[in-house]
Amino acid sequence: MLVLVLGDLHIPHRCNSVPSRFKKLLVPGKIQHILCTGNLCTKESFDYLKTLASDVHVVRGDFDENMNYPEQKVVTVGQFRIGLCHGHQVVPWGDNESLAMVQRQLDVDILISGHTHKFEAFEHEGKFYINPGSASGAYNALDSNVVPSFVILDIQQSTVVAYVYKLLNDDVKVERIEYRKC
Amino acid sequence: METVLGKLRQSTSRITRRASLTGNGAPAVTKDEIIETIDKFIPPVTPESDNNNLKKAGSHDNGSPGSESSSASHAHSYSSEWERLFMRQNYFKKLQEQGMDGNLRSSRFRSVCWKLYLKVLPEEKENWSEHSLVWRKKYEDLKNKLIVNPRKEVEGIDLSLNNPLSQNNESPWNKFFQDNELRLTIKQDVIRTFPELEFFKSEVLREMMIDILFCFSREHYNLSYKQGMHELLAPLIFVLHCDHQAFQHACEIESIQELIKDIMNPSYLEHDAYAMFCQVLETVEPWYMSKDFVISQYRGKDFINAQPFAKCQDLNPSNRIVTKLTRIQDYILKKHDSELHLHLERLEIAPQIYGIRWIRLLFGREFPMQDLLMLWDAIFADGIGFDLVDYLFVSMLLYIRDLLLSSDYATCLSTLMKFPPVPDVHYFIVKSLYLREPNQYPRPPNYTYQTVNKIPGKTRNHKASPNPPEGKRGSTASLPVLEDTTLRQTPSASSLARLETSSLRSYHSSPAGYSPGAISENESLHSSPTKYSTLPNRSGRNRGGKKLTKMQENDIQHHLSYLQGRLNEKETMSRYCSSKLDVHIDRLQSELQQIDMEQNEEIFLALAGIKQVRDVLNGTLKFSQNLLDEDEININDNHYKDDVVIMTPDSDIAMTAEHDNRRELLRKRQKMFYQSSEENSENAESPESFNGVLRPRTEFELDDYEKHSKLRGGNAARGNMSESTISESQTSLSSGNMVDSPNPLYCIESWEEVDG
Repeated sequence: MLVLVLGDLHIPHRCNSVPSRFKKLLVPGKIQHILCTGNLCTKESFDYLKTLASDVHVVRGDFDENMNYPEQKVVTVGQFRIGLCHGHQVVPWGDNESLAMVQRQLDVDILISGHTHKFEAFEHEGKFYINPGSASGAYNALDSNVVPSFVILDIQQSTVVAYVYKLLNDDVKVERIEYRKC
Repeated sequence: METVLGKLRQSTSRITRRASLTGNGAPAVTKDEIIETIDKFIPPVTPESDNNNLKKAGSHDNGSPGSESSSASHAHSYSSEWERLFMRQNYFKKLQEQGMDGNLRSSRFRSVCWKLYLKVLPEEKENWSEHSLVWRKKYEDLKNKLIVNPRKEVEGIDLSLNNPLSQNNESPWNKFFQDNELRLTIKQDVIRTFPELEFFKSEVLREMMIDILFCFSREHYNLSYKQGMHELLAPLIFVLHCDHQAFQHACEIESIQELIKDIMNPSYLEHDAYAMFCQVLETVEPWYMSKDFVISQYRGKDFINAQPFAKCQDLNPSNRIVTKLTRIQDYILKKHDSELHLHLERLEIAPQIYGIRWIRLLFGREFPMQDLLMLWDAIFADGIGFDLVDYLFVSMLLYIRDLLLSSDYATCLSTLMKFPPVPDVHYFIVKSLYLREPNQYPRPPNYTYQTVNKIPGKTRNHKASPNPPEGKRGSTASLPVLEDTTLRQTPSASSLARLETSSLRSYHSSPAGYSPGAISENESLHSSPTKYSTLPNRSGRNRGGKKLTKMQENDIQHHLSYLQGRLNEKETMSRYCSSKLDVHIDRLQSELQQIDMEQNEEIFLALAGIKQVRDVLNGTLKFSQNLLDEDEININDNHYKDDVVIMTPDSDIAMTAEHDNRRELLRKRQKMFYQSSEENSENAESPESFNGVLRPRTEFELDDYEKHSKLRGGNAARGNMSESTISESQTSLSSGNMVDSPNPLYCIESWEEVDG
């Protein structure tokens, strides 16, 4: 089962669109679920995500125009409980321990967060933390050089394989990270 | 012939079964000898070896394997069936015959027979294990290769290739997604396979079918998967499954030899099904090909594919299946039944509409499973080329020809799309064999499907037809002769509802007498189908057994009104003809009277005859023939000597005669006695035969004569005469008996001489 994890598009405020190289990869039919960390910001982006898969989960980011998205969400995919949160609520931004707190609150196996526009994927205390970065490469308050990235999770029983797609020098680079639920 | 032989074969198999039961250890030669001797003689002979008389085997029909295996004394029946089917000399040929005869219906080794027919297993039994192994391994390898899990750690493949979103053709993920798509397509068809059978609803089975079909389509890239293949696969799996059940059941009861265990291993169901499926598809493959690329060729040129009067099926003759269907319709069907062919062509029912499904699925959706399996026995047994399919197609069409001939476009289509149920499918096999080689096989009786909607009484020309088959029913003459004569005498008995597009003789033969005769004829012909139904036939099918229902009354009404309309038409036509004749007669008459010729007698005779014809057409002279009163007329004395004036049957002619030339006319009329209308002409020659013979066709009636006689005040002789026979009797007397005729009316001849 394939799950697409992305966020922080900031379209059209900070960026025009998702890079064309990414768009070519993202074809409908392959992905079953989409987990979006937020800051889309407009409805058009949401509609675009809807065309890729029917099951789209979005949490509210600080620049989202839609006020009705939840702040946090837990989604069960296969055997995994996946937590979704934008990350602007977590202070300091991107701090491991603070994120761990959120994970304990939500009681999830995988925690997905964003806001830093920087890709992260690590295992901490037996739990998996993913930050898909910014799919459009929009600038951050603290950082202007943002590498566009997103993540595909391949969930099979108790194994998750994360494929990270980064756009480096106009070329898509893929990385693979595996996580097993203990 | 077919029936007798069929019974013989049944009894043969009975006997061999009994024999095999007794002689389990008996040498095969003895059994063979027995069987061969039996084959030579017509009445079944009890074999000498049936010493033990295992009569407790119960019914020895082909359809009771269960009773045998359940009884303890027949513990080896499974093995013995194996022996009987496969271990004899020339077993393959016998198997083919059995397949054609439909004897495999309850065989427990049907799948093995099919494997042999389809050449999955070779004829030499020694190689069976080897071949099976080869096929099974082949499938296993295929499966492993094709059903790929991209998540398996594949070293050496670049991550940029081996990621889920990769669209590179090399990427295993890409293949995975493409495979998934194909599987989805296949799955959509598989879940709709044989929805009426529970067997095909299990998930495991469906997965198996999807795997098999998927492997096949990946293996044969050019053909890929086409809708319909699942229907071909399904009965194969069904047969294998049934055989495996029997095998497992038998394993519990008796010990099975190794070879059987190997061949019938249930765990290889999928592999065996795949093997058989491949072989079937090898023949069937061209029927599934659709050459779409041909069209693009034409787009380049300025090619207008417009032929005047082209049939719709001819406009794009690029497909093999279309050619095949056209060949079936235009060649085979036309040859055997041009009427139906014309009808279908006129309605513009292209054979592709219904035929593609029939052919591609090997009639899979037209018949219930058991019947279908029997058909497939025959198709496979016939040869790997499936040649019988064409002829089966035609025999199916012939079976419903009556329905088709009497239907319009929509009804025809609905009938063809939803083939009516058939009580005995074996008939099609027999018929198609006959169609293919008319010289080699006896002609089967012409059964057709009769529904309650059909009125058997529509034909008129076979009023006498119930008699011959009735007469011959009891005869023990050889059946083909019987059937042939029946067929010859009742050519339309098999198509009792004919449209006006067909021959009009049925209407011409009885121009009058519809109204009084209609109901009685209906009844008489209603009974005739039931008479036909008692004809001996092999399958015991009751052809005419469908009785009338209430609907039929409505239909009778409908038909009556229809016939009335036709009658009116005919009447108008006759009147028109008579008026035209009148004109011409006047002309001729005037001319002839001018010319005073020597032999004007003949001419005037002829003219009088023509006048009579005109009157008949006009309706002033009615035809009704009551032949029974013939003799009465002949006995009369000559009371008419004095009654000179108008003694003619054609009183109307007398009334309307031209008075200026009465004598001539009278003379004509006298001559007319001898040479009257054509219908009577033959009777004029032979008065004796006329009196004795039952003439089925026309009835002659003299309404006017009766009226006239009443006016005259009743001559005694006239009183004796019934109105119906007078003209007949008068005109029947041969010209030779002019003076000597007992008929008093003929004395007018002398009167003529008197007048000079």
